[in-house]
Amino acid sequence: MLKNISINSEQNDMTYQNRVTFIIFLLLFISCSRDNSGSQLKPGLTTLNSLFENHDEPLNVIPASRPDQEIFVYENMSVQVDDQMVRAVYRNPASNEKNLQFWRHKYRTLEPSFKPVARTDEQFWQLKYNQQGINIIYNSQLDEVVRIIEYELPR
Amino acid sequence: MNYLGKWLMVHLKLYKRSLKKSAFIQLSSFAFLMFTGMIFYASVDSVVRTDRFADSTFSSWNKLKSGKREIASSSEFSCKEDRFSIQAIKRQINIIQSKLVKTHKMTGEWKGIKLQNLYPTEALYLSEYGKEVGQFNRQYNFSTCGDLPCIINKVYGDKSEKAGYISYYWFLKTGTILSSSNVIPNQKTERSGFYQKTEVAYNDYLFTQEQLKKFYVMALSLPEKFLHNPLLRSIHKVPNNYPIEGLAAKRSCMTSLPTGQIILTDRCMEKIKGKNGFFTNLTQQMASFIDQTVGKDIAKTSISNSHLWKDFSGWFSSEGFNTSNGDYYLKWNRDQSEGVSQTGMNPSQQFTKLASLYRYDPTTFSNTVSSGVKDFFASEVFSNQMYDPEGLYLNFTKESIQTWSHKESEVWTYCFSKNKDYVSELRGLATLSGDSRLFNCANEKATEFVSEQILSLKKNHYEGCNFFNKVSYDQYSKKFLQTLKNFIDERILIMKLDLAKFKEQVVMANKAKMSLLSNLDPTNIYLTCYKKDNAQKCFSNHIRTSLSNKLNATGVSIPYKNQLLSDISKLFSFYDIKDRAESLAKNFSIPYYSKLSSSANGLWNSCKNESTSRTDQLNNDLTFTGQHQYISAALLNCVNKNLNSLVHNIVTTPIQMKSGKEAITFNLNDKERVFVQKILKARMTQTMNNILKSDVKFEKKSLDKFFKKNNELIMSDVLKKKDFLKEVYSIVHVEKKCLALLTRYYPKKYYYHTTSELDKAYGRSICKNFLNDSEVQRKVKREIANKWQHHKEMKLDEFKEMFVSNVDDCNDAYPISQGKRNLRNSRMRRRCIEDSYEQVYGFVIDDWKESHFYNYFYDKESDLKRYLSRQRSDLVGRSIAGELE
Repeated sequence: MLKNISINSEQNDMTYQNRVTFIIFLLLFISCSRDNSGSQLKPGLTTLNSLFENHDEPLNVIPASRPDQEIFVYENMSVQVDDQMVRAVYRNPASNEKNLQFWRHKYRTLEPSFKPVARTDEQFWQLKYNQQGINIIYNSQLDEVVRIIEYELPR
Repeated sequence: MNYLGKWLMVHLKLYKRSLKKSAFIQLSSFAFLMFTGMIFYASVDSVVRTDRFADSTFSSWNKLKSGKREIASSSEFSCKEDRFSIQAIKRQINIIQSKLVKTHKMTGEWKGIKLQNLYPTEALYLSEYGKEVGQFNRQYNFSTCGDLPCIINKVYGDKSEKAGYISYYWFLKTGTILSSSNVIPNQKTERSGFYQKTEVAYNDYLFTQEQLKKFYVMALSLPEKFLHNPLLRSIHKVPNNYPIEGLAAKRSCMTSLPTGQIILTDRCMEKIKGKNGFFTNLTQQMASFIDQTVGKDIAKTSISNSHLWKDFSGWFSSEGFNTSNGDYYLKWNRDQSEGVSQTGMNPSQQFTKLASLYRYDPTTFSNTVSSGVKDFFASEVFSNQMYDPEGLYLNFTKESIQTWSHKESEVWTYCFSKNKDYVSELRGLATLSGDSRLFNCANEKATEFVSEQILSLKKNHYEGCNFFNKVSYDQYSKKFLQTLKNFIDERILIMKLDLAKFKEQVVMANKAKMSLLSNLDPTNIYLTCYKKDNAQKCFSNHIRTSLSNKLNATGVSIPYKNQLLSDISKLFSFYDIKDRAESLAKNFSIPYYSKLSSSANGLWNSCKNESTSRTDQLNNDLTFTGQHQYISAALLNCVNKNLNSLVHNIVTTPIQMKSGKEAITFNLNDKERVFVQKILKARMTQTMNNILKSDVKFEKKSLDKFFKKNNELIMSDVLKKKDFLKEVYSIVHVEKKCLALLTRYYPKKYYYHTTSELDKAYGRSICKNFLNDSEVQRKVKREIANKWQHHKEMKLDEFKEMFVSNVDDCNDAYPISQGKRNLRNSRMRRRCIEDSYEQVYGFVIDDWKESHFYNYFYDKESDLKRYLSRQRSDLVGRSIAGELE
């Protein structure tokens, strides 16, 4: 009888441990699944409210070139907003996106423009696909893509 | 135990029996014994041998070269000699040439000159940079020339011969060339001799005598890391008084291109505000390549882009995006409180500017940066060399102390051998009293060493003569002499003390030290360790183990051994050896360059022949990226697939060098290969970037030619297609159809353009021309008008069908049979029919806008609306009257 009780209590402990482990993993999953990468943001479609619902507080808010716009700075991306709407999303490239050829090939059916970023002494260049609403920033000295900007297509 | 013994006995007997009977067992036993013997030998050897880090190929090669250098320089040096005399320049050329390995003779010709008749480095110059020599497309007569300087002198028209010899010396020393071409990289026009839309005299492209002299001085004085950078290829001067074409920063007098060219204006080579801008400006451009190569080693990115540098200099960036025009902007800001007060536009400019000041304006540099930044530059970029008077004093002192420390054991061995009775003197030495012949000998040798060392410093350091001869350096040269003397005196005193304390052990240890210093190759140890996580620790552990093993064999006491260990270990600084290994590897790579260049061209061409597919997917792992230029996936994949093995094959080729009558072959070991491969891969990539650049130009020209030639043919062929102008709905549609059709006429092979780029560059204009033809225009207009009319009528039919169906519903709800007497029914029926019309009208227009026809007819929206509206009174009237069916 005593033996049975001890077995039962062990089983209960195990079940309890399993539940705790499960809850920890679930919480971890939920916290990790908060997407701050910007992949879900659609410039021109995502509203400011939706941005706040799906993302943490920005680390910083800075003014954009236009006085009616602001840039919300997150850890891995920045979001430019105005009029309660996301207008542009800046993000760092994933490892396979660091090569400019990747983008040249991805959008090879489109006609890009390639010009230097102003006042960077031709170190930084932008490969713009206006039809796609994407601007790839390339550091020619490092031969590496350093930033990707997805923006609202011109209306 | 007993059981085991019996078992062994039984099996031994069985084994003996089978050994007698079976040949196979005999053979296997023999092989086993040999194998275990070898393993045993190897393991004992690795423990016992202290010379397992005996000379690497780098070091053996370097030793041989050093021997040659001594012969070549043969102490003809004098500070009073005219540095710019042809003899002096030739002597410098000889010093470098004597160090180089004469590899295989190059084949081929350059403008009538057989490359095999030239010195290999001269042949390399012409084969790789031949396009940068002389006026483009001009016929020269080089038949009287037997060497490169003669060719360059002819191009320059220089009777003093300095242009040729200085250009060649610059190439030998730096691995880059001074272009004498009248085509500037990235110039807007394809025409040679044209710059900023004007024709320019050839002489205006050439460096002046004064500028060449400055290049010569610079070559003599550039620090090690600035020499033979694999990314830097050539230096170009834009014609006198012209700004650099196509540069965004219009006022900038210099720039460097990612493909390895530096472009300068004459303004950049003049004195500005009393300071010689030439050295700092050119060094600044060269430093942009150092930024990348050194940065990759220490920070896996460029130095100026690393967190390390941004922390030092306080740079941070702010970015933004202009939603109106889709442009990105980036602004660099600085926290002024950080360790650098020098301004600059961005981290890269600041780094390169500081690097140039460090070398050629050290006082301004010191006033600009904190000591932390100075130390960073000293250790990472300048191999711990400093150039202000205090720095020169420290460099020279360090170098001299190191040299004495290495030579010391030789001196003592010599003095011990000259004074065989030193053992009897040892008793007197215990009191340290009185002079002895042994120490007199050492003192004499020390005095000899100091004068030899001064001569060596004068000879081997650009600032050497000034340091010892100029009044402005007086206090430092005196301090140098005093410090060196004190050091040597102290070392002799230590020897006295050691002899008094450890007696004969000192003599044995000295012998061991001498053999150790001549046998141990720290470069090899560095190469063993450089890829490990803690390379420095690995290096010092290996050095200590090697020393310890060697000293153990001498039988010196432990306290003395420990003292010697710490003494000798100091002679092998990790950073000094690292710099030495890099410099040796760089010099060792030079003979491979000629092979590298031809292999790169070969690989490119064979890949082009293989890679005609335009549907391949790009691989992820690209060593050679093609920078910003689009390259077809098939070609790029092919180049990358073969690049590593190609470089590997090059470095596995043995190098032969003649030493007297004997030919010595050098094979790199695995560690060295990896090291040299790193340098060659960078150079190979840059070579490929330049092949790509010229091939892109070539393809562009070929495409221009192709389309120009075939334009008429394509157009007439397109026109011949009978049904081409059928089923067209709009001008846009015709253009699209035309482009789709044209693709069939595009050349079969093109590698650096996407199809959409060809459409943009050629296809559209062909189609536009095609559409401009009056006959075509008439046909197209007629076809479009017919199609539109047909389409409108089709829409009206659709409209009517839906409207009739809705009217039927109205008639069901408000029957026509009730006639006009039922006023309410009549009113409701009329309203129902009118509403139906509006509903169907809205629906049909919306539906049409979503159909693909809208893309063709969108500009006719109002026409359709008008057309349908015009039917309103008729349709509604007839429906109310009950006449519509």
